[in-house]
Parts: sequence; C-alpha cells; structure tokens
Amino acid sequence: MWTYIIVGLTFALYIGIAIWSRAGSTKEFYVAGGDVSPLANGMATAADWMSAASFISMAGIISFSGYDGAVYLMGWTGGYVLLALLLAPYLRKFGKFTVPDFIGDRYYSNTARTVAVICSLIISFTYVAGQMRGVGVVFSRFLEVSIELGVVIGMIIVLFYAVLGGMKGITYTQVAQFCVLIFAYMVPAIFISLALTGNAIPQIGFGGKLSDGSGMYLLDKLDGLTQELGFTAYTEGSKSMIDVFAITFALMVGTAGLPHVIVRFFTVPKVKDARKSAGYALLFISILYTTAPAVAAFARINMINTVSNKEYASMPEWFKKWETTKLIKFEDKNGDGTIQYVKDPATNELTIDNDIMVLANPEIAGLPNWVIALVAAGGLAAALSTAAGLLLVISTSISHDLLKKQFRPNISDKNELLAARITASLAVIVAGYFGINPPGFVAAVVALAFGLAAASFFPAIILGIFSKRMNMQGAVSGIVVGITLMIYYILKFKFGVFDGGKAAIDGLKSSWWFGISPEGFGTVAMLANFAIALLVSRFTPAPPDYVQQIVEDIRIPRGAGEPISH
Amino acid sequence: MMDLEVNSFFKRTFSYKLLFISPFLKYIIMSKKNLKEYWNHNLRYLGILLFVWFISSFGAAILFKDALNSIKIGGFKLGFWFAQQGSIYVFCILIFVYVYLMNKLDKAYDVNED
Repeated sequence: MWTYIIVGLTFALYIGIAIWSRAGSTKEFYVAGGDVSPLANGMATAADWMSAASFISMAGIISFSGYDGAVYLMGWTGGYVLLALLLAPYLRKFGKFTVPDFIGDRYYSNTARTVAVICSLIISFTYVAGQMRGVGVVFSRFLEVSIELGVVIGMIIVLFYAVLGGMKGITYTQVAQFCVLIFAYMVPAIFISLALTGNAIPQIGFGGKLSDGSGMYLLDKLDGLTQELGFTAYTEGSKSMIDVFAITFALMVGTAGLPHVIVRFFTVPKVKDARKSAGYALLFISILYTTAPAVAAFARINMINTVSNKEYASMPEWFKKWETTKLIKFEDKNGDGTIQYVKDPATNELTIDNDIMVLANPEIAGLPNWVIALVAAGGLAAALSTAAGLLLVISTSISHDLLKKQFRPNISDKNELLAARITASLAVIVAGYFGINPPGFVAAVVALAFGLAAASFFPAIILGIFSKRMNMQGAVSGIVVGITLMIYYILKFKFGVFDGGKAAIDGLKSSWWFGISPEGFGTVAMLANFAIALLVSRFTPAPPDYVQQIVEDIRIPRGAGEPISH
Repeated sequence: MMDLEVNSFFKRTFSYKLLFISPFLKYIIMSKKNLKEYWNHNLRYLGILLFVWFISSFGAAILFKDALNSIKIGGFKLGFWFAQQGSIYVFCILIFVYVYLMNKLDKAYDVNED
C-alpha cells in the first residue's frame, strides 16, 4: 500500500516538473537552454549515470565477487576524472549540441559525423533496453503488476517529461530523481550498518567490528565465512590482475566516451562550470558508490548467517516470498532438510540472484514497509532518469545530427523541435518494446556499449582536443578499427558466434587475447584506435587551418558563448 | 579643403590606427606565446593529476594491492580499501583540486570568463 503512495507521489513530482520546464526552442530541447547551475547539473548527471544497474544490481554483484567488484566501483567513478580533466571544459567551449556535432565539425566530414551517429545509436539503444527492463522488473516485484504493464507505465512517464521538456525537462526531473534515489539507497544502508556494527555511517561500519559480541572485524569474519564455504576469501578476488586492470580501464574510459554522459556538460553556462559540474557529479555519485560496497558486505554476511546450514523449514518470511519470484532457488540435494550454501556446484543447494541483495535487504533487516516502498521508488527513479538521458541522445542524433546537419540544413528551428519531439516519442516506443521483449543478452550488450565507447569515441575526442595534427583520415580509420575489433571480440568470446554458440564460451576462455575478458577488451580496442589514428594521420595531409584554429580556440575558456548549433 | 587633406593624412598614420586598437592592445600583446605557455601549464597540471589518478586506483588497488594488504587500518586491509573506497575519495578530491588550480591559472593568464 505504502508502495503505491510513495511511488505515486514521486511520479506526480516528475510530471509537475515536466510541465514547469516545457521546452520552447531547440536550444532548450537539446541543452536545457545552456544555463543549468553546476550543482543542479551535478545532481542530474549523477541520476542520469546511476541506472537501475547501479541501484539494484551493483551491490549484489559486489556481494558475490568481493574484491573483484572493485572493477565496477573504480571503473564507473574514475571515468569522471577523465571527463573533468580531458573532455568537459573543451567540449563546452566548442559550444555545439551533441557528440557527433563535435566529431563531424572537428574532423570536417559528414562521414565521420554519420559514423558517430551510428555508434551513438547502438550504444544508447542497448543501454536503454536494459533500463526499461529494469523499470518493468521493479514494478512487477513491488507493485504487483505484470512486467509488461510496468514497462508501459514507465514509458508513459518518460514520454511525458522527455517529449515535453527535452533536455530541460529531463535535467530538472533528474535532480528530483537523484534526491529520491539517494535517500532510498541510504536509509536501509544506515539502518543495517547500525544493526550490524553499531555505526550509522555505512562507510565506517564497513571497516568496523561486528556488534554481535564476537569483537571480530566484519571483513575478517566475512573472509573466514566465505573461505569455510569454499568461496575465495571476500577481500581477495578470483580474476587475474591483468583482467582486473583491463576491465577497470575499459569501464573508466568507456564512461568518458558515453554520449549521454558527455552531453550533460553542454548544459552549463561556462567552461569553469563544466569542470565544477563534473566535480559535483562525482561527489553525488560517490555517496552511493562508497555505500554500495558496505551494503554488499553487510548483505553477504547477513545472507550467510541466515541460511548456511540452517533448516529450510525455519527460513524467515522474506526467504519464502523471494522464492516465489524465483530469485532464490533451493534444491535439497542431500535430502537433509538443511541448506548447504557452498561454492562447489555439485553440492551447492542454494542459488541466489544478484538483485536480491539490494531489493530484499530492507526485509532481511526487518525494516518497516515504507522503507521498502522507498527502495522501489528509488529503483524506478534510477531507471527512469537514465532512460530519459539515453532517449534524448537517440532523438537528437536523428533530428539534429542527421536531419538538421545533413539532410535538411534549412529546416526551421520550430520544425527541428517538432522532429526532435517525434523521434523522442518513437524512441520511447522502441525502447519500451525492447523492455518487454529484451534480447536475452542485455547485460552482455551493455558491456559492448562501454567497450564501443572506449574504442570509438574516447580516442577520437581526446585526439581531437589535444592534437592539432589529428585529421579526418586518422580519426575515422582509428574509429573503424576500434569498433571492428570490439565487435569481433564480443561476438567471438561473449556469444561464441564463430565456435558454435553459447556452449563454446567457457572453453574459449583460455584463448582470450592477453588473458583479457570481453568486458576488459575495450582497453585493447582503444589502444588500437589510438595507434592506427596516429599512424594514418602521419601519412595524410594535416587538417585545414580553420580546424586547427578551432582546436586552439577550445583550449581557451574565455569566449565560451551560448551553445550554438549552426 | 585643407581639413580634408589633413584628415586623410591623419587617417593613414600609425597613431590614428593606434587610437582604434588601443582598447584591444591587451589582447594583441597577449600573444600566441602567452597562450602557448598557458596550455603548457595546463598540460603540466593534467600530468600530475592523472598520475595521482593512476597511482591511487591502478597502483594502490590493483598492481600493489597485495603489498598494501599487509597494512591494516581498523577492519580494512589497505589494498582492498583503496579498491572499494579510497580510490573514489581520491577521485573526488582530484577533480576539485583541478577546478581550483584551473580557476587560478585562468585568472593568471587572463583567459578567464568573468
């Protein structure tokens, strides 16, 4: 009951903001009028960034991988340093509306622009399918509606504020969504930290002593427990060092290359605001990201204490409830009525889905219903905010980068705005369709999205800013090589396409290049892009003088005007 | 007639042109050399900050994690702590340090926006 009230209230808030922030021009639709304050922009970026995956799945993944989970923690935050130092200020000075805008103008080529548009679309569509799915899942778990209906409701809400307000509507709803999601994440975390370690601050409780009388440090106890059950110690990991390195690097660089993140820095008034806004964004993101590993550890220890070697019949109510959703599965392999939760797949009787760790945490900790309702609202806020940001990139790619810049350069501002609205609506519908019928490989495809961003956009933009000599031929060849390598690697090692399908994947692990997984391969593809781009540009003519002048100009903050499109 | 001749003579002199360009003299003198220095200074800052970025994450949390893990602070092994918490704190601080340094640099080279 609480869930309907709280979720309903948050939705009413988003719709209210949407009406207040109607977009009246393409400038408002694409870059929110260019006058969002760095603080508000930081919050909006944080909400845009933290998707359903960050909110629901990440703590669960860390819970089960221990130290290895750090690839996500570092990978999804470290990229912001790269954004702040290497990209945001210069792109803001450049003053255009989108990433393909920059690529197309800097490399004086509509081919480059179109390649950038295609990459943008692939990255954004794959990402958004996952979000709409997340919306459906939260609805079905908490509001007892079918996943399909949940996705449709989500679509209608997003449609409303994205189509009405464009970037302006999205930015301010994201500010509200950030407040909802961070509150929803922290409340259970604080309660559980207090209960387990006597410290209300999860980041400190994480390193604290258990308050169960044993006087042991939580992490030591967890290490012991996991090892007893045959898992690797929680604070060690099982991935190879080079893979951890590669995945972390690929995620950081991929973050800095994602179009829907980059475009957030076009909405502030000045270059120095772009830098500050990146700082605020990371600050707000860090609130969740430093809490998540604590939540992960708490959840793991709670789970083990609750189920390991205990009688199945004595399991608490939340266990039975989540069993009906199939997120927990128990198979009494040795018929002794107690739960063996161990690493060895032959004797292990309990299968737990990652997502439980956050969704069920409040119930495991015995928190009141309104907290549980808050978690639902928070999960929805996270998914909707990210979905909106992605949908906007999709719509601007088509209405601005294709229509205005290439096929219909004389289209009026009013008509461009209309086109943007229409494509946004269509994009919502397509995304909704994928939310209802997700390709089975959504998570794998999101890994591809990061790898693609790392292999295509990041090098092209970096070289475009820091090297006057980088020309069209270099940039385009680099992008093509990067993308090709990335797609090949994912098809081969993630989908087994060349070796007989999914069954072959495990066997292929020994032939990973340099021992790097598909998730980490973006690093290799990025390096290939840099190498080829630099090589090819050596043997081809330098860019025209006016382009070199642009590069010099974007290095100087003064004179950053309003974002201009034409 | 005489005035016209004087006028056109005057117009062609350097001092007349100087009258028009004097408000912009500041920018003309802020020559390419200065902007080059500004950019180099910027790059130097980037180098230092990115070094710290690298050391606190890839260094402390990955490459040297085992060595650092022998140090314990409270319940945290240090390598593990950098991996799951510490590097994130460093990243935040780095960006704000960068903002501070760049604001100062922009003012010093007179390229700031306000």
